[in-house]
Amino acid sequence: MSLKLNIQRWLFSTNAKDIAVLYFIFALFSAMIGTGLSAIIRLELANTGSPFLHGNTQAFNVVITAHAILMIFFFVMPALVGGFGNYLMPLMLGASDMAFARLNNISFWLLVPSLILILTSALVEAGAGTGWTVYFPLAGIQSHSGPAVDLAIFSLHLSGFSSLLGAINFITTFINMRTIGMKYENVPLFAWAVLFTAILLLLSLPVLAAGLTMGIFDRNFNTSFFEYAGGGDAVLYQHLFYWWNHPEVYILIIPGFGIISHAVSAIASKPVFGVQGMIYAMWSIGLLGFCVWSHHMFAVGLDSDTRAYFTSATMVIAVPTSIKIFSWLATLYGGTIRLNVTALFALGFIFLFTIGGLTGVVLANSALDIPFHDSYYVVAHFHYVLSMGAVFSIFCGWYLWSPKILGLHYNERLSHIHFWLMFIGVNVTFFPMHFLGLQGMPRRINDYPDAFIGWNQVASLGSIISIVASIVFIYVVYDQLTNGLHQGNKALDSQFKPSFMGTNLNVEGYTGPTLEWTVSTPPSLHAFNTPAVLY
Amino acid sequence: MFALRRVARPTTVLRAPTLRNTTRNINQKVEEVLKDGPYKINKAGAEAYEAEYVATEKHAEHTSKLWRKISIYICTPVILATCVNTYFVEAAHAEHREHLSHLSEEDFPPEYEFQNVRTKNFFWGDGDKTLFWNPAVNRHIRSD
Amino acid sequence: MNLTLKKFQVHPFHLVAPSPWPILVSFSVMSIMLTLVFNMHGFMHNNYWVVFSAIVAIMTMALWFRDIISEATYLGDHTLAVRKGLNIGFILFVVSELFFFIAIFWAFFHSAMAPTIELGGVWPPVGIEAIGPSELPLLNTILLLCSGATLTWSHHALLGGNRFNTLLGLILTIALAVTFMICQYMEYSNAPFTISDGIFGSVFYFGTGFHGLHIIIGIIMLGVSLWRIYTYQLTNNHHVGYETSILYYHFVDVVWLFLYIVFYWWGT
Repeated sequence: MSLKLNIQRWLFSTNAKDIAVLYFIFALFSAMIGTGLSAIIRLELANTGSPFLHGNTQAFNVVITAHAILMIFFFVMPALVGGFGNYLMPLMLGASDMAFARLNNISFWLLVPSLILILTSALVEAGAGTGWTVYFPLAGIQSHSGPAVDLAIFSLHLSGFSSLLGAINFITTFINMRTIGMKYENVPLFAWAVLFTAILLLLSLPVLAAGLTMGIFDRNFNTSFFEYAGGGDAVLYQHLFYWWNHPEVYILIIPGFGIISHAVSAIASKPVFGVQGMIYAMWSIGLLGFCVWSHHMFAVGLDSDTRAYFTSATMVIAVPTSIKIFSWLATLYGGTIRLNVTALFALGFIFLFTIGGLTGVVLANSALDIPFHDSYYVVAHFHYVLSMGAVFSIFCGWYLWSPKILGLHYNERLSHIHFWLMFIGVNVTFFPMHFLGLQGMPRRINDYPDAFIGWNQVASLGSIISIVASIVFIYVVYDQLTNGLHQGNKALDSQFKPSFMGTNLNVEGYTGPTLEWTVSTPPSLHAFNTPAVLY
Repeated sequence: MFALRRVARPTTVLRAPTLRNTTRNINQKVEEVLKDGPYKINKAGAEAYEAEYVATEKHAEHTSKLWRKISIYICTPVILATCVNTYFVEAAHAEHREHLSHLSEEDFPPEYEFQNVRTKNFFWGDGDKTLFWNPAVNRHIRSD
Repeated sequence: MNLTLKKFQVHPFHLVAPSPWPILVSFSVMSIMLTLVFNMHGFMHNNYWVVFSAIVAIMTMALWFRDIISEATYLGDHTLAVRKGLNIGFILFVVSELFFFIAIFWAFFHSAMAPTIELGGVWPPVGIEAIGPSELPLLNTILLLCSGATLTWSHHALLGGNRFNTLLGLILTIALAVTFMICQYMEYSNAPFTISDGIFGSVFYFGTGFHGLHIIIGIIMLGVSLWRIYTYQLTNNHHVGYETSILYYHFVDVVWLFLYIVFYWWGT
C-alpha cells in the first residue's frame, strides 16, 4: 500500500477494527512505560535508604503517579474498552461498524495527546508528585507551583473526554445496531459488559471533569473550591473524585468479566451458566458502584452513620460479584476442560480476583479501613484485582481472540511460559504486600524501617520476574506477528476443536458460541456488510 | 449463550444425529427469515410511517398556533413587565455603584480574609484583576 | 464512493468514509492545552498561541460538521436507522452534560449548606452583596422561559410545514438567547463580588459561567439550524440537527431554572 493509503487507513480511520488495532498498539506501548515505572518503584523499595532515587522523594511520587495513570488510563482502559470493545462488540452484535465512526476515531486520537501531556507532566520542572488521585491541597498551587499538575489534569481531561465519546458510541451501537433477530437476551456477555462499562463512564466521568476543572481554577484563577482560606473544602474534591473513581474500578474490571465469561465457556466447551444472572450481576455491580464512593474516604472524618452506610453498601457488592464467580465455576463444572493458555489465564483470573475481592471485603469495613488506610494492604488489594484481575483478563482475551483478529497463531509453549512466569511474578510481588500493610507500612513513601526489608526484597524480586514475563509476552506477540502463519491457522481449533482427551461434541456445524467466530479469519474490514440473521 | 449454543449442550446419547437435526433446523429457519425477512419491502411499515407523518403534520399545525399565541400574548407582556421591574432595580444599583466609585479606600466596605484570594497572579493584564473587573465596585485593597 | 457502496450494502447504517478531522481536532486540542498551561505559568509571554490553536480547533470542527451536513443533506446517508442512532447518541451526550452540572450543584451545596467559619458561618458569606432573585436574574429567567416557548412554536411550525413561522420563531428564540447573554454580561461586570472572592464567588461564576458557555453553544447550534432551514436543507420530517439543537437548548434552559432557584434564590 502506498503511503497515502496507509495514512488514510490508520490516521483517518473510520473502521472500528482498525481503530481497535491502534488501541492495542497504544495500550502495549503505554503498558511498557508503565511497567518500566513499576520497576523503578520496586528498585527504590528493594532496600532501605532509598537505594535507587537517592532520597529524591518527589521523584518517587512522580513515578508512582505516572505509573498509576499510565496503567489505568493508557493501558487497561484502551486495551479492554478500546481494543476488545471496538473489535468485538460490533462483531458480536452483527453490526456493520460502530454507530459513529469518526467519533470512534477521535476517541482514540485524543488518547495520544493525553499520553503526551502526562509524560510532559512527569518531565517538566519537578513533575506531578501528587499521586494519581491528584488530591488537594497537595495538588494545589502552593504545594505544586509548576505546570506539571496542570498538565496532568489536562491529560485526565482529554482521556476522560475520549472515554466519554467512546461510551456514547458503545451505548448507541448496542441499542441501535444489533442485527436482525438479535434481541437483548441474545446479546453475548462481553457486549453486555461493554454496555455497562459505557453507562458507568457516561454517568461518572463528567463529575470528575467538573472536579478537575475546579482544581484547574483553584490553581490558576484564584478560586477557592478546595481552599480552606476561602471557605472551600478539600473533601469536596474527594467526593467529586470518588463519585467517578468508584465506578471507574468497575469500568476497569467489567469488560474483563465479559472476556472471562467467553473464555470459560470456550475452555469448558459449555455455554455460560446462568447468562441472565450474569447480566443482572453486572448491572447491579454497576448500579451499586454509584452508591459506595465514600468508602475510599473513611479516613477524612465522616460521621459514623455515614461510615456504617458506606460499609454495608460496599459489602452488598460482594453478592453480585459472587454470583459471577460461582457462575464461572458452575460453567467449568462438568465441562471438558482444555488446559490451554486461555484456560490458564481464566482460571488464574478467577482465583486471584477472588483473593483481591476478599481483601476488598476486609477493607470495606470502616473500622478495619481506618488502620489499613493508605497502607500496603490497600496496594496489595487493588493490584490483586487490577494487575491480576484486569490484566489477566486482557492476556486471556488476547490469547482467546488474537488468532481470530490477526489470522496468525501464537507459540503455545511460549505462551504457557508467559503465564507461569506472570503468575509467579505477580504473586511473589503482591502477596507479601498484605503482610507489609498489616504491619503498618504506608504507601507512597520511598523508605521504610529495617523491619520491613525482608518482604520488600521478596516483592522486588517478584517484580523482576513479572518484568521478565512481560518481555516474554512481547516476544510472543512478535513471534505471532512475524512467524504466525507457520504456527498454522488455529483460531478456532485451539479453542473449540476437541482435544485428545475431550469429547467430540463440538464437531460439525458448531463454529463457536458467538457471532465473531462465524466470520472469516481475520475478519474483513466490514464483516457484516450483509447482516447476519439470527433465528 | 443463545441459539447456536444449543448445539453444544451435552447430550448423553446419540450426539451426531441430534446435532445434524439441529443444524438442519437452523438452516431451515435462516432460509425462512431470508425469504420474507430483511430484503422484502415492508409495505405495512411504510404505510404506518406515512400515516404517522401525516398525523404529526396535522397535530403540529394546531400546536404551533397554540405556542404562537403563548409567545405573543403571554411572553411579550411578561417580558415587558419584568423589564420595567428590572429597570428600576438596576437604576438603584447604578446609583449605588456611582456612590461606591467616589468612596476612598478607607470608606470602602472592609475586605474579609476570604475575599480577593491571590494565590497566584492571573496570567492576563496586570495579574491582579479578574476578567469582569469593575473598578467601581471591585477593589483589591491590600492592607500590607 | 458512497454511491457505489450502497450497491453492496443491505443494512441501513452509514459507513463513513475516512476523515482527517478527528486527528486534527485532537491534536489542536492538545496544542490549546499545552500552550494554555505554559502560558498560565509564565513560560510564554503572549496569548497568541492559545488563540491560534483554538482557531484551528474550531475551524477543523466546523469542517467536520460541514461533512456531516453534506452527508445528511446531499448524500442521503442519514436513513431512519442512522437518525435514530444520532438522536440516541445526542441524548446520551446531554445526560453526560447533566452530570457535569450535577457536580457543580454538588460543589454549591457542599459549600453552602455548612458555610465554614472563614465565611462567618453564613451563606452568603459576610461582606458579600449577593445578587437576589428579584433583580436582573428574574428578567433572565423570563427571557429563557419565553425563548423556550418561541422555540417550541418554531419547532411545531416546522413539523406542520409552515416556513414563515418556523423562521420567525427561531429568530425570536435566538434574539432572546442573545439578550440573555447580554444581561449576563451586564450582571457579571457590575457584580460587587469577583470569582476570587472565596467559595461564594468561585462557585457562582463557575456555575453561571459554564451555563453561559452552554447557552453560547446552544445559540451556535440554533444559528446553524436557522441557516439550514433558510436554505431549505431541513424538511418537516428530516431535521435531526434542529431536533438535537432544541433538546440541547431546553436542557440548558432547565439547568438555568435550577441555577436560578438554587444560586440566586435559596442561596441568598
